[in-house]
Amino acid sequence: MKNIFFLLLTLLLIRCSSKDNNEKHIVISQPHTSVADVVNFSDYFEIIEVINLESSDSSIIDYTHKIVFDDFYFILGGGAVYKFDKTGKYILKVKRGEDGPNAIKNLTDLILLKNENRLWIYDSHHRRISQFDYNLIFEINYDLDYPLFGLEKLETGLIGSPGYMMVVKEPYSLFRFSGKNLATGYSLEETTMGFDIEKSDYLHIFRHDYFSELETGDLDFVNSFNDTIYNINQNGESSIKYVIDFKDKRVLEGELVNKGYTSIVDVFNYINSTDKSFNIGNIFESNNSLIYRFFNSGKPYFSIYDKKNNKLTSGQIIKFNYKGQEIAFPIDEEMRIGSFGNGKGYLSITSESSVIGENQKVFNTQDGDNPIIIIFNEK
Amino acid sequence: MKNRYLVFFILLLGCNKGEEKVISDVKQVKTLGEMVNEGLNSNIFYSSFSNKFPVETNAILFVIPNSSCFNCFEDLVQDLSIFYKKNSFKNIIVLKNDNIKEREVRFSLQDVTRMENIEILDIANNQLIVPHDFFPELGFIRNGNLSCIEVFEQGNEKKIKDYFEFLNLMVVN
Repeated sequence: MKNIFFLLLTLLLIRCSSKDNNEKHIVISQPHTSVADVVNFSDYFEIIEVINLESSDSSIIDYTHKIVFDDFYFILGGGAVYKFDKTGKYILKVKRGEDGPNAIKNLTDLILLKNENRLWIYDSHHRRISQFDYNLIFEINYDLDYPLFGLEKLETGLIGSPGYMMVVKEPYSLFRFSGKNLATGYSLEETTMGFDIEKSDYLHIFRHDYFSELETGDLDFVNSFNDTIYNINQNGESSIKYVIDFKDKRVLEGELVNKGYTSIVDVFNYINSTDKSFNIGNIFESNNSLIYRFFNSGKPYFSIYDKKNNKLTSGQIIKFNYKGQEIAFPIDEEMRIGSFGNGKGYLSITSESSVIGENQKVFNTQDGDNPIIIIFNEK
Repeated sequence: MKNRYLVFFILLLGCNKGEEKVISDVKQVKTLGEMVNEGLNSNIFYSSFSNKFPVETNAILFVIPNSSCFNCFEDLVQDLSIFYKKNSFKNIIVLKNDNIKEREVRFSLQDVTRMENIEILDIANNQLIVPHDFFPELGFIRNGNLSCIEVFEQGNEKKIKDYFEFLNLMVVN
C-alpha cells in the first residue's frame, strides 16, 4: 500500500512538473512595427566598449556569424575563424578549404572551452569537431557523424540542431548527445522537436544563431519557424520559454506546407511578398531583458522585451549613447546580436556609410572596413 | 582542325579589335567550351567597346551581381586569382550598385589583388553593362578597350576554366 502511494505521488509530481514545463512560458505579443520605429538601446543596456577590428587584406571578414571571447576575440566568419586581440588587432586565422587533417568545408559553429584554453570548430560537411588551441594550432578531430548547424557543449554532453534537415530516420530539430570529452567520445541519446517531414525538403537553413548562452550556463534555443524560444538546461532538457506571437501577421503552417515550394528561396520570396513577420533569430537574454530579431517584408527589425515590466519595444532604428553622443541608424540584415555567456552581449554592425552614415566619424571607420563590434551589458 | 584555327582567329578579333558585334548572335550557349568548339557566341562576348576607359587601362572588369553575397562566386575568384598571378596583373575595376558593401568587394577579391589596386565604380554611372541579378560578369580591358564580357553562373566550373584559358591563350600572350 505504501509503495502504491509513493508510486502515485511520484507519478503525480512528474506529471505536474511536465505540465509546468510546457505551460509556464511567456507569450510576447509582437505588434506590427514600422521602419521609422526607434529602439532606445540605452534604456536597457550600457555600451562597455566598441572594438574596431583591424581591416587588412588578411583580416577582412565576410560575416560575423559568432564571437567568443577569452582574452582574445575569436570570430566565426563564413570562410574562416579569425583571432583578434582585445584592442581589435588581427593576429591570425584558420581558413576553410585548406588541405590536411584539419581541412574544414562548412564552418558551422565555434565553441569556446575556457577552462582548457581550447576552441572547437564544427564542420557540418565532415560532421566533425576539430579542436584547436588558442594559437589556432590544430590538435584533434572527432567525428560526431551528424550534419548539425548549431552545436553547444553542456556539462553532461552536447546539444545540436540540424535545423529542418532530416538527418535521422524521423524529422527532429534537436539532438542531445551524452559524453564528457573528445577522448571518451559522445553518443546520441535523444532526438526531440519533430517537424513536418515536408519541411525537410526545402527548409534547410544554414544559420548560426540557434543557441545563445545565458548567465546561468543554460542555453536559449530558437526555433524560427514556430516563433518559439526554448530553454535548454545543462542536462540537455528543453522547455518552452517564450512564444513570439505575431498575431494576424504570423506565418501559418498552411503557408509552409503543401505549397509546392522547392527551396527556402521560394519560401522567403512568398513571405516577403506578404506583410507577415517571421524568422526569429539573434537572441540575447539577460536577467531583465530579451533581445530578438525578426523580419517583415524582407526588412530586419528587432525587439527588446523587458521581463520585469512585461514591456516590449520594437523598431528598425537602433539608438544608443556612446562617448556622450546619441547614435542612431537603421539595422541591416548583416547586424548580429550575440551573447558571451557572462551577462555581456555584442552587436556586430557594418562599417559602411550606406548603413551607419555620418556615424562613421564617431566609430573612426570607413567603407570597406571590418564590422564594428559593440560590447554591452545590462544596466 | 582548320576550322578550329578559324574560330580562334575570329575570337581573337572579337576580343582585340574595336569592332561592334563581330559575329551576329546565333543562339544562346551554355559554356565557353561550346563557344570555342562550335564557333557560337553569347550575347556580348564578341562585342568590343572602345574608349570607355582611359587608354592606359589594362585590367579585368568585375561586375558584381545586383544581389551579391560574399561567398557566392568563390570558384570564379579562385581562377581569377591564378590568372592575375600568372600574368602579373594588378588592377581590377569593379562595377557595383549601392546595395553592395565595399567590404564585400574587398573580401571577395582579397586573394586576387590588394585593396589599393581595386577601383570601385558605381553601376548607376555606367550604362555599359547591366549586372545580372545573381551571377557575376567579367570583362577584359586592354589599352582602355573592353571586350570578352561573360556571365558566370554558379557551379559552371567548366565555363570559368574555358574563359581564363581563352584569355591566357588568345589575349594576354
